[in-house]
Amino acid sequence: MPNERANSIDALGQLLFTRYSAKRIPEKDLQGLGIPSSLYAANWRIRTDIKHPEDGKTIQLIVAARPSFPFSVPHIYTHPELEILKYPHVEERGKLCVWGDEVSFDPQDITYVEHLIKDSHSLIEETISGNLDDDFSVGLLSYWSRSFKTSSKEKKATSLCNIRNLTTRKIHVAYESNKGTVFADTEKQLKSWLTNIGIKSNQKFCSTTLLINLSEAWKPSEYPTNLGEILSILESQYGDPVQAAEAITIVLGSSRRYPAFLIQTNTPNGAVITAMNCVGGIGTRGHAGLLNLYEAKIGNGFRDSIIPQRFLNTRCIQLGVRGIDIERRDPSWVLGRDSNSFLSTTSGTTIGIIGLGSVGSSLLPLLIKAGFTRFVLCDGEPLEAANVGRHLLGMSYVGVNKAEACKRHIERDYPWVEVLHAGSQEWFEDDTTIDLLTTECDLMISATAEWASDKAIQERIESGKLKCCVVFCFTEAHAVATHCYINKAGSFSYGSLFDNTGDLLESCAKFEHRTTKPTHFCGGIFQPYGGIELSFGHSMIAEAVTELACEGIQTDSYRVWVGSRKLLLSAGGEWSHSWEQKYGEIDDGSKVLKVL
Amino acid sequence: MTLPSIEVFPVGNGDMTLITTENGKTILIDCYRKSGSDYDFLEERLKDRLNTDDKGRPYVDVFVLTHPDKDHITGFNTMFYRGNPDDWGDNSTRIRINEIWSSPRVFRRATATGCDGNNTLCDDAVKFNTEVKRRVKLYREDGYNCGDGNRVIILSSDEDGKTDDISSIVAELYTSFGHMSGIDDQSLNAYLLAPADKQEVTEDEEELTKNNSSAIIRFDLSHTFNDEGLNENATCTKSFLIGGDAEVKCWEVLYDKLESTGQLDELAYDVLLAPHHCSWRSLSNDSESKCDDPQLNASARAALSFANKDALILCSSHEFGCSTPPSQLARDEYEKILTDNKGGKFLAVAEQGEDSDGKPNSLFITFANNKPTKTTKTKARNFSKVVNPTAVKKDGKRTYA
Repeated sequence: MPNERANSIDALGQLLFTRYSAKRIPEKDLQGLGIPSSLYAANWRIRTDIKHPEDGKTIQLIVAARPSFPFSVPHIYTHPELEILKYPHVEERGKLCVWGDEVSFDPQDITYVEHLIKDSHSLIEETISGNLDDDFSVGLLSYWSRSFKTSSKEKKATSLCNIRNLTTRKIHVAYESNKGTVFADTEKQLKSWLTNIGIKSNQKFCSTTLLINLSEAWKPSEYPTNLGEILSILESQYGDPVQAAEAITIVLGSSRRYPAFLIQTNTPNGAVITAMNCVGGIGTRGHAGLLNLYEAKIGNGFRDSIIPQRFLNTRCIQLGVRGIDIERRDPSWVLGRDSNSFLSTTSGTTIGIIGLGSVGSSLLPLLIKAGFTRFVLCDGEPLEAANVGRHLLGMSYVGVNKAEACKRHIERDYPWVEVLHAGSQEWFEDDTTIDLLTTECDLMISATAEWASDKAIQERIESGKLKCCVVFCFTEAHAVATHCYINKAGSFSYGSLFDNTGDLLESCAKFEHRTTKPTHFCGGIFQPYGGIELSFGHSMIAEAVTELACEGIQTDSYRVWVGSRKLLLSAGGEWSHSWEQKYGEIDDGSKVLKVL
Repeated sequence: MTLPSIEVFPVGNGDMTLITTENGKTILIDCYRKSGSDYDFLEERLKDRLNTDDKGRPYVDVFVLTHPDKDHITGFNTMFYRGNPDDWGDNSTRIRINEIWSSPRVFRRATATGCDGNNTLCDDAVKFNTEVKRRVKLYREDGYNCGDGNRVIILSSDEDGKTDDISSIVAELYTSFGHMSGIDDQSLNAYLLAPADKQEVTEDEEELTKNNSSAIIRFDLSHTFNDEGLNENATCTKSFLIGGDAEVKCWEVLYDKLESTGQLDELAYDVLLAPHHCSWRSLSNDSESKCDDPQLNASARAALSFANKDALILCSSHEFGCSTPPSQLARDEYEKILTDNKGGKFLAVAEQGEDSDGKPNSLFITFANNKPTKTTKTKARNFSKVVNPTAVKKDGKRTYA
């Protein structure tokens, strides 16, 4: 242990002795307490006058300091241990969960440990008294996850179900061995997810099951251990044994031997999804080597949906159930843990993006994180290695059409997203793209910086075929200024920024020299800039698009991110006097200018 | 840091008193742990109060022996580790004594022929003396007071110049000697009041020999507290006077000496451990049982009368009323001293009841609100107290990543 760490441990020992007559626990004694000694640099015991509720001995607080003390808060154990799942805030081996994430402390003042001990002492008194039993509901997942054991091979399951639906209902499930079981409200949603994560859906592992909605959370003593208890809950919910039997047979009718089902619980901290499966297997006997025989299931002798009640009850009671690890991956959870109020709007908006270069591609993850889930993408060019420095995508996509590559990337990383189409030609050359842009999209982003493309958009606006707003985005030389013009539906005012050849009439920056460089291809040029200077513009555009989707616009809107004067000067440019006269001083830059 | 404390263990007619400073340093004054499982709780309780090293082995920072009578040293051999601290076994449950304070003059008087019926040291006292001699020898060899488990301070120089060559570890009479200790605690000072030097008048020396000569020490315990009126930290010092079994002649000699030198204020105390288990013989030349009207010795009584306001006088003995000591007559006198000095209380360890295990409670004193206060060890731990309320914020996070 480095000296400064050893000094901190010594200082803690002195503090604990002075304040509480704490005793250092030798490593050999610690093992006897069941506390893993390898985790800790030093441990002390403090006597309290609190009696253990079961064995009557006075409880000792064990203060376990990790080598990283004082920067990591010591762990607090109790000895004798308080029983896990009987008392809230008690973890394995009697460890207490004392401080939540909201507690902050001064690591350079180790008297913060006094607060920890004070809170631990209070916590023990409170948890023993039963005053904290409601915390079993508040922190349900902590306790639920400790109520069962899973094998190391068992993959964590995924729930895509909508937690705003508060009914007990039939849902869909895929028992996929490599990526884990996936639950979804609809078959379409399930298949789309599986496809996006690279799994071809198959009837062999797809089935239906049940989501049971509970208005109140179970306490650990109420966690079900057999399917009979689940059946009782359903009977209580429906008030009708027949409906309950029908519901439970959704589980029993599974094509799998160990069907799983979901429990949605509504807690003070919002809805929680947990999952259980039938541990004994719903088969009542095996094949006995006769592979041509089907495996008899729990409804042996009856069809799944018409098992007589008396048999169903008995058989369900005999079928054990236990929790399984599950994680919500539905957009409401992933994009803000059910706290993103904009999702209901953004998730219903379809965006068409034409041009997936340095500007357009990097909008995608921002827009997805803003809640947009449906896209039409189009770009006529493949990704080159030299694009990687300022493009969303990396080397693994070099050579792939940019729209297609973006589609693959976002579907894999954000599997709830649906890309309706990835056009690999210029958009105006591809009828499918044109059709989807004009019929499916609620707004369109043009990030081509190609005048011909913009004019083609104008043509479709003026012909009445393109009825949505179009957000035009481009950046200036060296990306010293990035523009975002929201062109309201039905007009093409954006065109007023340019002359007839697409030359920008008023740019923020002026350069006395040529800013582009020729490539090694015939007639090829490129404009040097990097991803950093562009990134501010991406944020501005994504924000503008989100505002457009959520609030709409009455008139055109035009905003520009102007980069820093330092960037401008390093590229040999200066702010345009003409721009400043027209729209105001730019000064040191690094700000968003709202032009319209 | 916390309040200093004084714990008088319920040992019956004997002494075992633990001082804990505000910095957590421990000073044990005498020990009396009789053999047998009935007294296991005393050893367990003592160890509970002591700090431990990284191997969980208990240690006391200073052990003070006032005098080598059985009721002040019994249990030394079984409870404490003796010898080279390097040989202290990793699994040892014996208490290491980092530093010993002892007086050869007290040993000499205790073993002198014609002393009060006891001129043979008990086994524990012999072992203690051997350990002291080992440490002194080590000092003589190495020339410095070397390390925890080897240090020693001699309380007053021995006669015939026997300690002249080790003056650096000899605390002289009527001086503060806290600075000589290796305890390294600025919150503690100690002032040596006895054993008195060899008396020039032979009769007086014989009287001292017969009078249970003991070390008499005033411990000054400082602690820092937040003065709410000034809204700043202030320091308060409280004095604890102990005198072992020192009897009337010792106090008389002490008073007369300090009076002659104008140092009587050195006798002021906030807490006094009533000498010789509240024996009448510390206050009077007359036998309580043999004399119809036993009279106080004015000087001895005066020596024990410098109680500060709200002082406590503690009694370490069995219950009053069985046999003496403790003496009710002495108790009445001590209570009168307290009354004369604007308040205070006489507290007997034998009157502190029992704990939940049916074992007698200790008498536990702290200095809450700057006055000596009886409390319990559990209360003294005070789980609800925090030194720095601003070290933690429960909803303090305003930055996220």
